[in-house]
Amino acid sequence: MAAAVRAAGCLPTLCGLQAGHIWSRQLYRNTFPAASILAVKTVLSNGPLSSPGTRDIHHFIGLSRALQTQCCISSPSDLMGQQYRAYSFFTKLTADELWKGALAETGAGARKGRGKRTKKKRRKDLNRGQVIGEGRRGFLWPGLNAPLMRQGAVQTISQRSKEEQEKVEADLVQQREEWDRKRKMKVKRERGWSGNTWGGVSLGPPDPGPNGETYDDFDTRILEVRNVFNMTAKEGRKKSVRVLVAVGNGRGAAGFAVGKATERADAFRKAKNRAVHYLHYIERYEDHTIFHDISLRFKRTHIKMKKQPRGYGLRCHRAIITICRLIGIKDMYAKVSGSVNMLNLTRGLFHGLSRQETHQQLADKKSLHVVEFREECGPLPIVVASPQGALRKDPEPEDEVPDTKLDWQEVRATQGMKRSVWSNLKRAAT
Amino acid sequence: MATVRGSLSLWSLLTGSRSADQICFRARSRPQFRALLQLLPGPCGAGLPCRRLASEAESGSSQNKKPTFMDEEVQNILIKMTGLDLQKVFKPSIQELKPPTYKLMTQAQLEEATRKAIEAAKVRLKMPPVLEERAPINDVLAEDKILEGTETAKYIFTDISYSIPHRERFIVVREPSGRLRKASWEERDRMIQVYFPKEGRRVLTPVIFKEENLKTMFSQDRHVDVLNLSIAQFEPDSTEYIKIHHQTYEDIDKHGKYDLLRSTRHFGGMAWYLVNKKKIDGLLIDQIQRDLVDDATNLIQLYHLLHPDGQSAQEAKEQAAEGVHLIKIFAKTEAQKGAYIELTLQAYQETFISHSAAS
Repeated sequence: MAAAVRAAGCLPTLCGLQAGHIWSRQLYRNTFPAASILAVKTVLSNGPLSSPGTRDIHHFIGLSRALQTQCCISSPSDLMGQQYRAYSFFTKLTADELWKGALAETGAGARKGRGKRTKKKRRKDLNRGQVIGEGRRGFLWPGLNAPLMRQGAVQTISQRSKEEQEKVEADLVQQREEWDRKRKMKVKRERGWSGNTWGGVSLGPPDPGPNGETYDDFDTRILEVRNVFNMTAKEGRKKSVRVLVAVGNGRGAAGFAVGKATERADAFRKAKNRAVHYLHYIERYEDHTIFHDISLRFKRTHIKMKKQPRGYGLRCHRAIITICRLIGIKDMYAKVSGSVNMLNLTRGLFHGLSRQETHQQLADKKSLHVVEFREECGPLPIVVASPQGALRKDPEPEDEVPDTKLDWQEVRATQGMKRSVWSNLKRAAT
Repeated sequence: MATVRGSLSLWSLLTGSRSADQICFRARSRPQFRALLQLLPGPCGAGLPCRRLASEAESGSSQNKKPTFMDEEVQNILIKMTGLDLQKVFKPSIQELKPPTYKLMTQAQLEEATRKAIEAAKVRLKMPPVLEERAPINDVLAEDKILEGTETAKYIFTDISYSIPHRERFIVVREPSGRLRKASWEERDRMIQVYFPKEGRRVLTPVIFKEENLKTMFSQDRHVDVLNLSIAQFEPDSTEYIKIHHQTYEDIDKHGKYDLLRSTRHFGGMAWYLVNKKKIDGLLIDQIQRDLVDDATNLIQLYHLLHPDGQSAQEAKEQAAEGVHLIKIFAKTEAQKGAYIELTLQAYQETFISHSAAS
């Protein structure tokens, strides 16, 4: 019970009136500057807690009369509005309870996605930097904020000078401000395919497995983050985050997986660790490109991949560029037509790349030499693969008109019938 | 490409057909060629035809007179020494890359393709002609003192009729003093390049042919590039062409970088130059070290062809030496680094014996 005293200005510390009696419960100083209502209450630390009886009320009324006459005893620092109450509403509850009330994480507003992103408050530990024994009067208690023994002798209680105490307080304030600044500092997130997407963002290597295996040389990249909803009986629309992720080590081993969870970070983790269990090994020609042109259709996604020489770069859909970088393919052209559903695109791509026919396999299948002719080397034949078994004597039958299926879009492009702003567009390398 | 055209015209002349671009060169005696020579008028260097006709008049074979670069024997020896490394001849050239094409072939087809590649390589390895330096033209056609002082610059008049060979074109210069004279070789080359530009040739001499830049190229081991550029830019009998080639050969000989020119079309020219200057020691040592003893013997045979009056040639003829023995005779008699040659030969023989013993 505290008697409220209206004062013209701020009241000086009345603790000094009864020196040595300090409220031992956790006090909040310099917090929640209230309006002009001030109350100071001191309780005798020795002896039983006397209920504020008549004696105290008289004491306070006397005080108030004294204060009403003299109201300009305040020091300049106290004009800032830093209030100090030894016993208030805030001292009656624990920090957790108070924060629970202030943050309001649970409640009707937080459910069903009604919470606004800007109204999210963050919990701050207000006792950080607090040392038992440090007070506004600056007393040095040996064993608490001063060393207990000095040259073998137990030290006595002493007090800091005013300037020293001000300096110490200013230091603490500065330290707390710096902590605040560090907390507020926004960590710049690595930019993926564009500013706000999660596509193309790297998640680092997957977590080590249970038997101690590490995947340090694997890199994971997010391909798609999507909020999917499910109708439940109790809550109605329940949001879940679905993440498609690809992993690869740049040397032919790569895989992809989907992870779903309520929180985005959990979904990332699930997908990352799942992808390592579904790896494909993809054969590459001379470690930089595919063996031959591949055109495939997976569900409604059409992908046409072409082999390119060194230095060409990856001129493909951005997801295909990400996946090829993880596999280790450096030069390729790919065109995606039809549906661009990310999941089907990835599945189709891995399907097509795993089913490549290496030169050695082709040679064995046909029992003929696979001979490469390069423009820059002139008429020189380079034998890339020879059959392991017997060599066939009869040559491959060659028609006058080759029996290949032509692609209408390609024919239009070569004939000059295609008018598109996107053909021969100059982009950044790879 | 100048060299291909030049060498093609060379061969076509040798086989007796006429061609538009004719270059003056020393050729084997052929009756058709003698007739052609008499038809050739104009600025062909006055001294050469008489000497050539005289040489052909004497005897058909090149035994009594000094053998030329274009003799069949000499060419055979040089071609054998150049070697034919397909990988080096068809090294990937710097151009815009296209994806390679693949074919399925049987062994027979593969051999056929290799044979075609060897034919193409032989065409690429045709040696550019080695000619003597052209004599400067100092022919004055008229002296018109009346025109003195009228003009301030020289005028060059070129005959740009399409069907005249470049060597026969009339290119004349009217100087401010009124003198009408035939253009010098440099002026001729420049004018012909202006009116009939050839691919790879610049009107003004590129900076790369200056001394310091040539030194840089040599330090980067780019002798082949220097020689190719000089063939594209200059005529084979011009001063700069011969000077650059000699400089390149000297540098290669100094540093022992003979392998740079092996399997290129310049090896023959280099060997010919070294044999003429009697500096074949370095080349011999390099060949023995790379186990090319046949090439070494061929080189010494060529040396004896060119200097039959030397000590080693006569001793070899006496002893009728063959192979390694020939090299030993040469090392003992006329070589500057005879000791080195003998040492390398010894080392080679030891390794050869040990190899044959092991296998």
